[in-house]
Parts: sequence; structure tokens; C-alpha cells
Amino acid sequence: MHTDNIDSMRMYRAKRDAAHVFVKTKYTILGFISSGTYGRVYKVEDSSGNLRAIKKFKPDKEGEVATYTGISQSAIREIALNREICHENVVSLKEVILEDKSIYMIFEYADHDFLQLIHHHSQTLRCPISTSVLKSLTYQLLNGLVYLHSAHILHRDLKPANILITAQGQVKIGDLGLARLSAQPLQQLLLGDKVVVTIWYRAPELLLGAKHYNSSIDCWAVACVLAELASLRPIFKGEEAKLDSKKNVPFQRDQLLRIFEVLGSPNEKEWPSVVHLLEYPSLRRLDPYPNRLFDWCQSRIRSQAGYDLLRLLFMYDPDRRLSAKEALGHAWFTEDPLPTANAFASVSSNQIPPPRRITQDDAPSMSMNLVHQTGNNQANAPGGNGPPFSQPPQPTGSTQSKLSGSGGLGDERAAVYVPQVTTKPHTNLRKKQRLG
Amino acid sequence: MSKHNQWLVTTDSLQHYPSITSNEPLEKILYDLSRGVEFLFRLGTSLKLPSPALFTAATWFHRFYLRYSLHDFHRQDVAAACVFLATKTEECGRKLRDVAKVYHSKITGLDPALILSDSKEVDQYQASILMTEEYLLQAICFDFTVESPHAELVDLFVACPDDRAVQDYAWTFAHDSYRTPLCVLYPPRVIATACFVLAQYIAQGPNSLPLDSRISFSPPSASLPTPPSHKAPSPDASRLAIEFFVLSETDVRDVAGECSYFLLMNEANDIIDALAFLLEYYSVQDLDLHPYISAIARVGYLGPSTVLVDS
Repeated sequence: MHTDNIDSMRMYRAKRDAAHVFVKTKYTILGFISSGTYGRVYKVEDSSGNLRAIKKFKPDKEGEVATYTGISQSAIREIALNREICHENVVSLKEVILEDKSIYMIFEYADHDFLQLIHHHSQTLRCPISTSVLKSLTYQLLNGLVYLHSAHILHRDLKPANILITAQGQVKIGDLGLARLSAQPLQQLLLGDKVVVTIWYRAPELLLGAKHYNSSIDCWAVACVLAELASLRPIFKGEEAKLDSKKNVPFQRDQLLRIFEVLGSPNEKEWPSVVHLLEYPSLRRLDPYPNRLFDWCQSRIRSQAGYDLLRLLFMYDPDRRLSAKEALGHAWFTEDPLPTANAFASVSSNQIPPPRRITQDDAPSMSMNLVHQTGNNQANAPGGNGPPFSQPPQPTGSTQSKLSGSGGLGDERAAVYVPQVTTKPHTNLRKKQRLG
Repeated sequence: MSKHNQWLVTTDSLQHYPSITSNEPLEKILYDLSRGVEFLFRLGTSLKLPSPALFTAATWFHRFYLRYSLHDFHRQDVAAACVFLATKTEECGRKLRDVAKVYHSKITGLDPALILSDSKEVDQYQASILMTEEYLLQAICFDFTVESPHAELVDLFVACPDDRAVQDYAWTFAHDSYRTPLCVLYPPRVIATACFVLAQYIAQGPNSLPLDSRISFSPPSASLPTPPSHKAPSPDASRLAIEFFVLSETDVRDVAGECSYFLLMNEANDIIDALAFLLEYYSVQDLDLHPYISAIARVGYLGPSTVLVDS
């Protein structure tokens, strides 16, 4: 019936297929960075030698084709928001590729993140992060957050593991997978996702079952992150009460107690609307605590202005809590030491954390042509997935050999789906970032 | 943004729709596309989606067929995939199974409540939605954020809050604009302006100021005969949409430092073309089936620039 069109469509399709950029042709995979509920992250290099991070979303639970229900909401949100934004303190999305039902998001690469920096100081250096670095990181974090909030984007999952730092000491807010627009919500934000924000960074109004919330939940998380940078451990390290079998959200008693131990119990005078919250009756049954934040800050922040900023970001009443913009104008940032554009400007090079660790043996689903990094921990090559080839010791940019000399590049189209194996112990550090 | 929008094509390039064949000319393609959007709206309405999700889905639908052929992808599959994807981007999630059930019910006329979730047909519809979704994602280049003329209309309504009839007409025309490829031809502001001008023209009935004079960027000269009626509409009101358009465009231009009369004339032609497109759509509808659009269908206006039909 449509014979005359078939040829032209075939030509069109051939042309389109030829133009399709395959992830593995365009990017050389340097190693595996981390995995999470969403999928996996790899460090890659493009043909010009630019480093990138590829986030590969799981097509779905492996092997269970029947449950595949299309591209995930999380990927959609992250792509939709990332495509519309551009700021020096927010990780930028370079490209999106769809292949074999998997979404690949290609981001700019950052060598460090807050969690890694905290570990570096607590485990390796065994000394606190200097005030100069602490302040610069906080300033840039707030600067990125002001941008997101001005675009009516709530991040909803700020925590050390999601806040990256480039080798040049620039903070990049990452992982917009839970983020969403907040301007004039037509439906309660609660209806969409019952639980947002990793428990240690979750604002009290969320813990108490608020149906409506706003950008101030991100500011609470910033305060938690600032406190964690200053003390090298989470300030409110509570145990999460899990959802019950009916998916009801339980009362987060332990997490609230951790908060009250430092900030004191909230009262109706400083937070009038608390009486309307769902869990208010449960809250009243808890023992009262005094506010100890000032003492907490004595040994950790060592600045009156720093204490004041933390106090204002930790306001119980979301309406009185400092906004990101107000926080950016806080006096702490105008007293010495001043924040620097390169957060590591004041740090000697041997104190800067080493670049993000990548591994070679844990990347089965993208291991077609893994490149072994010289000088790095040479783990076992994945068997049967094509010949890995070694990479000459490289000044940056010498990528020709990788692209043209490969025998393993030929058959990406036939990419076989290899089920993922469980994460190896050496990725423990990164695994902690996603709770629940 | 709209200035360098990769999603806008020229009217001439509609002749190169991938769907066009020797026995299926452009007119047939446009007809099928309008049927596809009709189906899309019906699906979305049954799923109780908010209107913006429908506009987004309909825009993707048109963008999709700029790249793929109706012969390879059935309009109903594409419509359902657009709706399903829009529920995810517009934060109004619906289960795939529910979309598939409503899809099934629209095709068979069955009551969705009577359709079994695990029926073979529902499984098939789910599979085709998912298959199509993949092509859709690539066709629309993951460009999820879409603007609609309705958002522009809201601004216009704020500027003239009182005339409910005009607002209702304009809103409806903007809906119907998705039954034509206008959203891949002109930016939302141009379409909104065309809808508003047409709405005023229709709402004012037989004594209405001619469409041409409503659109021209210079006000009608004083020597022109005024309509022979004591309740002649105020020329100011009739030009509200255009003035508003010029104002907001000039805003943009001034920032870019390239405000010029010439550019505005191009915009004027775009508005006229968009209007002509819309009127042409109404003029070919079956008036026996839809008698309520006869007043609009009769306008049959064709402006100075001729559109589309090359016969």
C-alpha cells in the first residue's frame, strides 16, 4: 500500500542509525565510580580528552522484562530540569543518550565530593577542615542553591555525597533525581513522593509529617552539611524508622531526638504552626531538651558569626529559617577568612583529597571496552566481554590510540545485557550515600 | 528562546513530512495528525490529566511526526506514548496499566471499569506504548519542557480581565490549534495572539472590525469607514492583542538591542499565517457534524500571505 514510501523511510532510517552516537564509541570508559538505586556512574573521557561522568539508569530490575514500565520518573525529572538550567555551582548535563532501554546521562566530571572530603579529613589527615575551606564550600553551595531556588527548583536530596567539588575547588551541586519545580504546586508535594531527603538531612517539618513544604527544607540540609563539614560526622545521625507494610510513613522518633539533643525541643512560641502538623501529638509525648547548639559550635565552628549562621539555618519554623539568599549575605562570609573561588586555594597540594577512586572490575554492564588505567589498582578484567586493552601513559588529549586502535569497538550494537553483580566491598564508602 | 527554536519549521517544509506519499498528500497527513491529537485529548481527558500535560503531549506528537512516518508509527500508539510520558514530566503520574486500559477502552468503546487489568489486549497496548516511548524520547531529543499558547493567553487575559466570551473563544482556539501543526510552525506567543484576535473577531459578531485591520501593526487610519453601528467596538480593544504582542516582543528585542520595524513586520506576517492556518482548519470541518463552528468556518479568511495549499 505504501510501497513508494518504504524506500525513502529505509534510507531515512539507515541515515539516522548511522548518525546515532553510541555511548561506547563516543566515550572511553575509564572506570566505575558508584552505584545506587537509580543505576551506576562511570568515569569516562570523550575524544577531546574531556573527563565526564556517565550516569547509566537501570533499564529496570534486570531480567524482569515484564515489570519494565518505561523511562523512570527520576530520570525524567533529572533530564527535564538539567536541560533548563546552567550555573557554575550546579553540575551541568552535557548529553543524553538512549540505548538498549537504558538512559545514559553525560555530566561534567568532578574529582571530589563533600563526603569524600570529610572521609579524607577524618580517616587520612585526622584533622578538621580549615575554616577557609569550610566557608568557601558553604558559600559556593549556597550560591548554587540560590540559583536553583530562584528557578523554583527544590533539590530535596542535599547531602555530602551529592555535592561535588572539581579539581579546581569549585562546588557543583549534583543529583537532581529527586528535584522538582515548586512554583505554585497544583497538588500537594506530599502526594508525589511520600518521603524526601535522606533522613539525617531531613527538615523537622518533614519529619513531623508536613503536607506542604518549600525551599527551606534545602536550607535545613545545608545547615546539616555545614555542621558535618565542621565536625566530620553527621550532626543528627538518627535511625530511620522504616515504612510499614501498608507504606504508611512512621513517626521518626529517633531522628527527631537526635535533633532535639542539640537544638532543644521546639515550642509553639518559636514555631506556631507546629501544632497543625500530623505528628504533633507524638511530638508532645517526647521528653523536653534544652538548646545546646552554642556549646556544640564552640569547639567546631569557632566563630560567633558562624554559630549565628548555623542557628538561623536551623530555625525550626520554616518561615523564619534563613533562605539561601539571606544566608549568602550573612556576616560569616564577610569576616576573615573570606571565601575563595577555589575552595582549596589555601590548602597545600598534599592536603587535597586524592581524585575520586574508580574501579575496573565492577562495571559489568558497561564493560565492553574497559580501559585499564595505568598506575591504578589493576583489578581483574571482566571475562568474556571483549578484549580490554591497555592505555599508554597519557598526557591528556592522547586519545587517538584508544579510539582507532581498538579491536573491541566493533559490535556495540549487539551489546548483550549482562546482569549486574552485587557491589564489591571496596565501594563501601560510596555505598553509604544512599540510605534505604 | 523562541527565536532560535529548533522545533520550528517553515510552512514549506511541511511538504516534506516523512508520512507523505504519492497517494497520501499533505492534506491527508494533516487530517490524520488532527485525528491523532483528537485521540490524544480524549485519552488525556479520560485520565483526568491537567491541561498543560495535554498541551505538552500534543506538542511532542507533532514534533514526533516531523521525524517519523504515520505508516511506521500508528497515531494512536504515539498519542498514548505522548500522554504517558507527559504524566511523568508534568508531575501527574499515571500507571502504565491505567493508560493502556483507557487506550483499550477508547478503541473498543468498552467501559474502562469492565476491562481486566491482566487482559491480553491491555498487555499489548502497554508493550506498544513502551516501544513507542523509546522512539519518542529520541525524536523529541529529551526536550521535555514545552511552552503553550495558553500561558501567553493567561497574560493577555490579565491585561483584559472583563471579556469572558473572548477569553473562552481564545482558550478554545488555542486548544484547537493543536489539531493543526501550528505548534511546530510558530512560537506560542504568535499562536496566542492569532487565537485572541480571532476570538475578538468572532465574539463581536457581524459588526466586527475586519481581521486585517486588527493585525496590521500601524493603527487603522482615521479615513477608513467605521463600521455602521452605534456600538462599534473600540479600536483600542481590537488591537489589544497586537499591542500586547509588540510590547512583549519589544521587551525581548531591547535586551538583544535589535528592535526594528522590519522584524515586527515579519511577526505580523506570522500571526496572519497562523490565523489563516487556523481558519483553514475550521473551514474544512464537517459542519453537519459540528454546526456550532459554522460561524468560524464561514470566515474563510485568507490574508496577504498564502499558506500551505499549493494544489
